Order: sequence, then C-alpha cells, then structure tokens
Amino acid sequence: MSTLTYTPPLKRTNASGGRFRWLFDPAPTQSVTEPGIAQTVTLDPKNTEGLVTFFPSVNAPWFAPAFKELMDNAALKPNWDSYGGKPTSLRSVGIAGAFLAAYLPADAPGPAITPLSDGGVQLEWHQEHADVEVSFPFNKPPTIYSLDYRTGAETEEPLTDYERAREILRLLVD
Amino acid sequence: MSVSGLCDDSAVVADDVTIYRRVPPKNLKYDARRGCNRLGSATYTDADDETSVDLGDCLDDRGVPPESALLEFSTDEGWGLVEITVADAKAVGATVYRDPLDENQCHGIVIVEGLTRASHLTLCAKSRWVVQPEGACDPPHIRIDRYGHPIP
Repeated sequence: MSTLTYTPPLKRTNASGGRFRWLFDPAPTQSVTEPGIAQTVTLDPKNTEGLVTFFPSVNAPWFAPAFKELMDNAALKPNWDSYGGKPTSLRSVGIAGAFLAAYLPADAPGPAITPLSDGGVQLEWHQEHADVEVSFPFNKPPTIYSLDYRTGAETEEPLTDYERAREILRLLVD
Repeated sequence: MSVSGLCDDSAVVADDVTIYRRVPPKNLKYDARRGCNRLGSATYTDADDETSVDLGDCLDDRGVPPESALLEFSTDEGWGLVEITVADAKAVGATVYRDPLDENQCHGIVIVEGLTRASHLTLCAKSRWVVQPEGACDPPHIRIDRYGHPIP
C-alpha cells in the first residue's frame, strides 16, 4: 500500500530560472508508471515565469479546465473572500493538480475547485449519487470526505492512503 | 433580544442572536442533485480557525440592516449573505465571541477549530439566505439521508 506523504507530498525540482517541476514523492503507482513530463502548463506570469510539469494521466478531459481554475485561484487578489483570504499558493496548485492527475479516473467528472482562505485548496464533486470533497489546507494535513447517497455512508478521514483515496474517488464513476 | 452593552466585548452572545456571514462567489458550488448552486462547506472557514461574522443584536442596536455587509460587493457578481443563530453554531461545537473592531463594532468571531467537515456542512444546512445570489439553491444547503430525507 502506498502512502501519501504530506510533508512534503511533492518535491519541487528544477527551480532555477523560475521553472518548476513537481514530482510525487514517493512515486505514485499503477496508472503512473514512470516519471515523465506528460503535459507542460505555462503559469500565469503574475505568479511565476515558468512551467509546472506533471506525471501522466493528465490527458483526461477534466484536467485542463481544472488546472486552469487552480491557476486562476492562484491569481486571486488578497482578501478575495472579504475576510482576508489569501490566493491559492503555488504549492497547493501543485499538490492538487498532481493529486488529480494521479488519482482521479479519466472518466470521472471534473472537480469544482474552492480556494481556501489560508492559501490551500479544496476539490469538490456534488453528483447525483455522491458528494466527495478533498481538502488541502495550506498548513494542515489533507482530508477526504465522502457521502454516498445510495447507502447513506458518510466518511471523513485524513488523506494518508493512496488506495483509499482512489477507492473513494471511484464513487464518482461507479 | 436587545439589551444595553451588547457591543461590549465582554458581553456574552446569547443563543438567539443571529450571526451573518458574507458568501463570496467562489463558495457557491453546483449541486447536480438539486440543479442549483449550493453553499460550499468552506463558507464558515477563515485562515486561522476564527471565522469573522457580524452580530445581529449589535446591528439591531445601531439600526444597521444586515444587508449593509454587502455594500461594497455586487450581488451581480454572485456575492451573497447568509445567517444562522448562535445556537446553531454552538450545536456543532463552535463558540461565538464578540470582537469589536475599529471599522466594525459589530464584528464577532466563531471559533471553528476542530470542527469536522460534517459539522461545517451542518452549519451550511442551518444557514438561511439574507441576500440570495442568482442561481443559488434555497435553502442554501440540505443534508439528506439515503432515502432523500433531510437530516435534522
């Protein structure tokens, strides 16, 4: 069983010259079989001049719009929520983007993305038969919540287990 | 309820006091079950586990309508305003304090540290719109069981 390590779940490399490459640490399993650059995304110049690169599986139809929204949230103005909210940190963009790329099934619906006021981010799905929320606060461990309307089962737990996260996300396509 | 000294930061906030919270557009999420935008679970979350609100008894004392909290924000852009009671917050384990600020004497804080996601969703389900954005679900959020029945 793989473990999602939160500190740091991602390793930033190639940071010279404003270029960023985000890598899973440890390397994900199954759908991601080898390190590589499957897609390169140009960051908003207001945030950094550079690139974010992800492992494979980012050809899923939901990836590009989800990543765009993550980056839009990174460009939010401070106090975007009127209560002192911070824009989404690039670290949170990297974590959430890499999590999606590695664990959300390609045939799943794309997430709704909510910036958290501390600079973190929350991924949400509110489907006919299930709610799933994956929260990546900036300074707290990530959590995953699910409610299966077919069974009434409601779960909320720390996000520490890759396979458990994958199992919960399967709710969105089963 | 209206008693003197309500804006004193040492005063207790009674259970029946209404508290108000602005809702930015980013905290409205499309709900496929209901076909409208529901109140997101992060609504009552600030960066430091101390969620800012406006206290209704203080606003009443000053003759300030709660909608004034949105004066600087456009409902055309999707901003909204919700209300719950102090009792609603206390029922999930939150505590409410007065925290008057120079720029907002009716400012209060809700301590949400340690609350579960389910508790945050319950707060959303207890919320009522004061100013409802276009396309928002009404009520803002419904907790339902496997049979489609609302969870009290």
